[in-house]
Amino acid sequence: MGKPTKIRNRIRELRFHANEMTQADLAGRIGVTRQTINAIEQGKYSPSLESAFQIAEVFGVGLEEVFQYGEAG
Amino acid sequence: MSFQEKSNLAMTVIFALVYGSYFYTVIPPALDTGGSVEAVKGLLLGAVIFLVAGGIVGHILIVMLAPNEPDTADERDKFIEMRADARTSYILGFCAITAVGMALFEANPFWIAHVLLGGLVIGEIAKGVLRAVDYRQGV
Repeated sequence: MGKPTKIRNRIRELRFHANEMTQADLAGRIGVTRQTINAIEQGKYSPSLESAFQIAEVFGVGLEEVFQYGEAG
Repeated sequence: MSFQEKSNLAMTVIFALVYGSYFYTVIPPALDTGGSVEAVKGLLLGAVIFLVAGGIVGHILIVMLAPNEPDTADERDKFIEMRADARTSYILGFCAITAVGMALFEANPFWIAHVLLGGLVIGEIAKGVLRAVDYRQGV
């Protein structure tokens, strides 16, 4: 319980490159709360596959450009 | 903190306060006198009224403090809810089986009812605490 997920992501960086899109903007576009986007960014929650695809679609990139699996290295 | 997280915290605290007070008031005298359902009907009803009223007031305050916060549960809220349900369902189950056993041995209905109520209360509080931990630590 409480251990960080092994799924890493680049959402913060992608938001920065998307004109500093806010967490609330991204949340609104995929139908979750801002707190859930924050939890995903911090690695405290692994999104459903559907939400993961939706996030990638918002940024216009492939899923693997947003999410990576395994230890950082 | 999302609306669902605040709602969970508020309801857990209200639940603990209302039923903590109820059991603190009802159980010690019942241990001396044997307990009677008739004698606690008013308190039982009062606890339900306080729980509902406290829940309404708590949620009004939450909305007033963050009026633009969406109140719908998203996938993370539902996942946290399911995790908490899965980990606490055995508490009510254990108390229900205990109550059935007590009924078979013709125990005082007061104690049968309070074992069931206790299971429900402990289960709900445990669920609320586990949800709160999951919201903070991540799932």
